[in-house]
Amino acid sequence: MQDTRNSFLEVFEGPNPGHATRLPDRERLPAYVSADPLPLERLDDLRALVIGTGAVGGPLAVDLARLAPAQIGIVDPGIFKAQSVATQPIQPGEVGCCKAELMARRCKEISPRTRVLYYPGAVQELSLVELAQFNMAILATDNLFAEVESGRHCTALGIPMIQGSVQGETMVVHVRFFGNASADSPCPACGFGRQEWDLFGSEVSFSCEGAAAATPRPEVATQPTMSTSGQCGLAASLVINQVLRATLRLGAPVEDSLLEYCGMTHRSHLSALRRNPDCPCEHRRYELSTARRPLERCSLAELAKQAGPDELLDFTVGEWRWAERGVCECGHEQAVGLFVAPGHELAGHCARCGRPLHCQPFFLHRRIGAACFETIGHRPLHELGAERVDWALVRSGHGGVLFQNPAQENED
Amino acid sequence: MKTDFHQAKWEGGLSDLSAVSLDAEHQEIFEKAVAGCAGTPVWQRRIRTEVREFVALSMVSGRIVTAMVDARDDLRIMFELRVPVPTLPDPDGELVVEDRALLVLTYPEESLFSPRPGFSFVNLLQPNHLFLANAAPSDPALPLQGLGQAICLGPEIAAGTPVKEIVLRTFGALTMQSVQLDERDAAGVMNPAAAAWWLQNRHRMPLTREGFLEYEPSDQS
Repeated sequence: MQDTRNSFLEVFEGPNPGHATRLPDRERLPAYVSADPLPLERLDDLRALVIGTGAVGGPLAVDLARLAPAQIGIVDPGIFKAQSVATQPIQPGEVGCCKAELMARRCKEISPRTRVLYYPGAVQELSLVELAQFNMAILATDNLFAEVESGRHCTALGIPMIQGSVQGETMVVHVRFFGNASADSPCPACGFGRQEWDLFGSEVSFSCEGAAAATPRPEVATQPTMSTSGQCGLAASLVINQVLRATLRLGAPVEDSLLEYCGMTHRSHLSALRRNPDCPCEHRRYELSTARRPLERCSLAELAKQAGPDELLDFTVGEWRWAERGVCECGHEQAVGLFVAPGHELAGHCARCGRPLHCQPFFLHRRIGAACFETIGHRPLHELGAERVDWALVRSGHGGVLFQNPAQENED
Repeated sequence: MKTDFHQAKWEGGLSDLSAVSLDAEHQEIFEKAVAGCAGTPVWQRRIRTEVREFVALSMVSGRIVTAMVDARDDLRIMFELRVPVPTLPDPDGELVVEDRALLVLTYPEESLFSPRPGFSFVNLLQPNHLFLANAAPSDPALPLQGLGQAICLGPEIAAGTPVKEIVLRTFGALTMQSVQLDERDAAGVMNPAAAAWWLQNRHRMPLTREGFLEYEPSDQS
């Protein structure tokens, strides 16, 4: 099977281990006024994902590394351009470098004890399980596609998401904090009006040449940030302030709030973010669970049992597709009942002539409904063609359970 | 779930489809189609709306015969569309224009909130050997019924685009009332050989100037 998985890459320490010992480790963090006696230890549990490392996300990632959290993930599909030097924390010699990798290496240099991961692609290419290894997401991109997709995934996983942005013309900085305490929490798309939806549609396109790919990659045409590095840095600092307040529980709760600061008037305004009942995003919550044994050895029945007694809606088995029927070059059609890999949609052999059966689009499913459960529910997934399964989702009436593989094989 | 093509005598527009009263035959098609409808409550409501409008469109246009509907996960509709279809069964032969297409329309739940590739919605099953710049080349090994040649309906389909609009765009693509032949365009083409051929044969485009709702079925239909 073709490996269609998209996953993070890890940055390891450089060849100079003595370097790490010279670095300060939260020595300059003040003793915050707080009712909690040991709030700083909470930073040891912080696993933050930074989506977009441009003029806001770049300085933000570096500031985050200085807090020495447990884990930092950086996602950005771009490379630094010559114009980036004007607003982003890079040297001219770094033009042409991969943004995600360069910023990840910089974070690792600052905080060697932090596990630093990066993904040089778009956030929507990562599976829910990849994103589930973080407990906070920071969105620093003007890309509406990434905004909606990140918001949807963070709502599903219950990951708080902070969004920092600037409006250069008015010198306004926005910091939105989506708490995602429940599926009914607001998401970025909840605040979209007609204008944003229109812009959303117009900035995304897919080339016909991507039709052959298992997961077509969209081309997103966004405008470059028109602002100063100072104002973008201000946005980054305000985001870090919210990260600290949320993590260390300082001051009033910041969840589901919008902070606006105007540089022309030096006024700030704090307002509440609210769920839009007409938001088209699904607003469902998935509980993360570890399967008792490797997923390909599990049956749907086992997963359903482990998921609990809620009413079953359907199953998704990673990127696999369920082929109900196939057609042969000889024209013969027959029932199949197998998982097939996207992009390699061959489903067994023709009962009449023995040649490979091809899948037909009408009979190829991403989700398996509860109705199929009776016939295939008790067979291990690998027997049904799914040889390697990275994740599985069991959706139920009110939400669902997202299964990941156990860390080590643990046969019952 | 088969029905004969219906004589079109309707004065309304696409935005009026939800107000169309279905006759008994089409009401039955609608009810059978949504009987197995699954998924979240929001998605189920949307499926009912989309399927009803599609069935209403088939009733008032006379162009569509609904073959199968599967609404267990993504919404899938297999239907026959009365439309000129340019094919090239013999690569060295003449263009053959067929008069109907068997299509599969797949409408995923994600299309409600996310733009989708224009080539991800509609596949042509019959006739095989569709010869369009905006359609995937056919598989010559499958002479009778293809696996589904993807038809590209544009660089992207905006979030929330209804099924009826996708059907209309498909009609526009097959009749070549809407066409993109420039290989250098960012949207690209799916069949460069077909794009080159049609550039040399622009006078044959479009295959019809008839509008979707102007269809007059012949007695032989």
